[in-house]
Amino acid sequence: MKPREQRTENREQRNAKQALTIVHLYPKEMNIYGDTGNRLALQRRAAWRGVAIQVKLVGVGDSIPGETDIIIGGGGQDAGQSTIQDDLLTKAEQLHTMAQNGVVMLMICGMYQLFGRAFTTSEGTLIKGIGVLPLETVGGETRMIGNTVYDTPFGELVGYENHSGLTMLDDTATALAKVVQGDGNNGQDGTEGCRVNNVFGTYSHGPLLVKNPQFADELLRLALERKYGHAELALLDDTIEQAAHATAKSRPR
Amino acid sequence: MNIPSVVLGKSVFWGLRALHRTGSALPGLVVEKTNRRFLAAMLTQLPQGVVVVSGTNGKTTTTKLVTALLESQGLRVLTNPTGSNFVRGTISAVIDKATWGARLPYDIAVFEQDEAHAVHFARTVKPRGVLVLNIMRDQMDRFGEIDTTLQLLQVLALSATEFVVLNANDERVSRIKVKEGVNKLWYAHSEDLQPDFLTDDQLYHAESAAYILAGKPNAELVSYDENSVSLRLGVTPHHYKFQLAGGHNALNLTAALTVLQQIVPQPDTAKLAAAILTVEPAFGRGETIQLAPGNTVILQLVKNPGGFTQALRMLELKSYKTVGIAINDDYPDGRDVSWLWDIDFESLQNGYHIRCSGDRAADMTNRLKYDEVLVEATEPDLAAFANSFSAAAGANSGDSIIFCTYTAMLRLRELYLGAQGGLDEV
Repeated sequence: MKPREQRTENREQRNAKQALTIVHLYPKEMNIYGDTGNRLALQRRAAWRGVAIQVKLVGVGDSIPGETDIIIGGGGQDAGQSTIQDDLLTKAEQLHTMAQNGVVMLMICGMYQLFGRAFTTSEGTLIKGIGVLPLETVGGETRMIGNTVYDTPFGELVGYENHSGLTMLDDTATALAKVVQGDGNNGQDGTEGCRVNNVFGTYSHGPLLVKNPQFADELLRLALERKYGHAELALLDDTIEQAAHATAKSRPR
Repeated sequence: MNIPSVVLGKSVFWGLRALHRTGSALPGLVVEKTNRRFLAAMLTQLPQGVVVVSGTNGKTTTTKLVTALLESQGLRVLTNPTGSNFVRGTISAVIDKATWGARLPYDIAVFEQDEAHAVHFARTVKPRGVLVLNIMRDQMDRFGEIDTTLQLLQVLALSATEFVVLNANDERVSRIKVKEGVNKLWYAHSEDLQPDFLTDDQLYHAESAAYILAGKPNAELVSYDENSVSLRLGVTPHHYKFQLAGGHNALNLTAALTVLQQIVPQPDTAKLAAAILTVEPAFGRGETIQLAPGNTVILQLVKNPGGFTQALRMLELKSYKTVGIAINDDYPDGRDVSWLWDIDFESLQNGYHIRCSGDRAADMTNRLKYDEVLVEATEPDLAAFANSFSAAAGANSGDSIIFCTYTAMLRLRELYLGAQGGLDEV
C-alpha cells in the first residue's frame, strides 16, 4: 500500500492531459532580478490549466534533462557570470541541438548575452558565448536602467532593464521587439531582444512573464505544440496581471 | 577652526526651521563643502571614540539599541537621527548637537552609516569600532552588485582601530578582514534557530540552508519569543524582557550587546536589563501606532527580499489578522520592484485579511496571486488605504500590521500621526 500522497500524485499525473518539464538554468548564480517570477508564471499558468509541471533546477555541474520542454535563465552579477561561463560552454552543443529542435528558451539579461557569440567587457576581456543567438555584446560606459515598454508580435510587453552591455544583432537576425520606451539592445537602433526558433532573449526583467501573461502563454503554447502537436490553453482571468501591466507602463522611466 | 563651521551649519538649521522644512542633510552638505576636515576634527573630542554600524538590514534599530545600552551605563552618546545615514547627515547631527563654541558634550558617538557612504566616512574618520550586520541584495539599481557591497564594508572594517564585530552566520560578512592588532568579535544565533534566519545565498537556494558559524561567538542568541530574549555572553546565559518584535531584532540586540561588552566590560546588569526592556522601535521599524482606542497597527519597513522574508516571520510570533502591504517605487524605495518576486509569500495563504497599497499595489496583488494568496482590497492611494485599513482592522479585531517600503512608510506615518520627516532631502 502506497502512502496516500503518493497515490494522489499518481492519479493527478495520470489525469493530467499534458505535462511539461521546465529547467531553471543556474538559479543560484544567475538570479538577481526576480527571475524566480518567470519560473513561477510558467508553473502556475500551466498548473491552472491542469498541465502538470515539473521544475528542475540545473546548476554548475548538473546536466540538462533530455526531456526538457522549456529552459529559463536570468541575470547575474559579474561574479555569477564568471562562475557559470565554463560550465555553459560544456552545455553548448546540447543547447544548440535543443534550440534546433524547437525547445522553448527564455534568456534574460546576463544569460541573453551569453547565448550570443561573445561578450567583450568594458575592460576588454572577451567572454565566449554559446552562439545560439546571432549577436555580440560589448560593455558600455553607462548603465541603461529603468522601466521599459516594447512592441512585439504577441502584444505590448512591459519590464525593467538594467544593463551596461550594448548588444548588436546580426543583419539577418530577428529582434524580439521594437522599443517603445527604454534603451533595448543598445540604445541606438530601437531593437530589443532576439528570437531564433523558439529561443527568446531579452534585457527585460521585471519579471517579464508575470506582467505580460500573453507572452507567458505564448511560451507554454509553443512548448505544448512542439510536444503534443496541439495546445489546450483555456482562457484565464488576467485582470490582476493586466492591472500590474498598466501600472508598470504608467510609471516614470 | 570649527567654530565658523558650527555657526554656519546652525544658521542653515535655523533657516530651514523658519521655513518649516524638515530634512537634515542640508546643513551637513553646506559644512562638508566648506570645511572638509570638520567631521574628523570634531569627533576627536570624544574621549571614547566613534562606533559605526552598517550592513544591509537592521542598521537603524541596532544603532538605537547600541545607543540605549551605552546610555544605560551612564555614557553620553552622540548619534545620528533615524535614517540620516549619509556622511552629510552625520555632519548635520554633529552641528546640531555641538555647542556654539564647537564643543561636543558627549563621551562616545554611535553612527549608522549607509553601506555606500561608509567608505567616505572611513576616509575622514577612523572609528574605534565597526559593527557589520549582514550583506544582502538590496536595490540593485543603486548598488549594482552584492559583492560590491562586501568590498565597501571591507574598507569600513579596515578603518577600525580597536574592534570589529561581525555576524558569524553571514558567509559574506565572515569574509571581512581586520587590521593587525584589531580585535575581531563574532555574534551569532544558535544552530537551533537556523530555520528562522536565512542568509542571502540561502534565500536563493533554500535547499542548502545549512548552519554557518564562521567563528566562536562572543554573544549567541539562543531563543526568543514575543517579549523576551535568551542569549549567551561568552559562556554566561542571560534572559531579558524585550519588546521589539521579531527574530531579526533579537539578533540585532545580540549584536548590540557584543559592542557593549567591548566598551563597558562590566556593565551594571540591572540598569542594562531596564534599558533592554524599555527600548522602543525606531520609527517605522516595527513601530506601534494607535488607530483607535483598542485598535493598533504595526508599521514595518521592508526594503529588500531578505528584510521582507525576515519581517514575515513576525506573523509567527503574534496572531495578526489584518495585513497591509504598501509598495512604492520612488527613488528611495528602489524604482525596480522585481525584488518582490524573490520573497516566498505562501505563509500568507490562510487566515489573513490582506490589503495592498502604494504606487505598485497592482504589482503586489499580482505577486500574491502567483503564491495563491487572496487579496481582499487593492487601493494604490495611500490615504484611501489608510482609512479603509483602519476600518478593516477594527472590524476583523486582533492585531494588524502593515509592511511598507520607505516612502510608503513615511506617508503612512504622516497620515496616521501627522508626523513628517525622515528623508534626506538633498
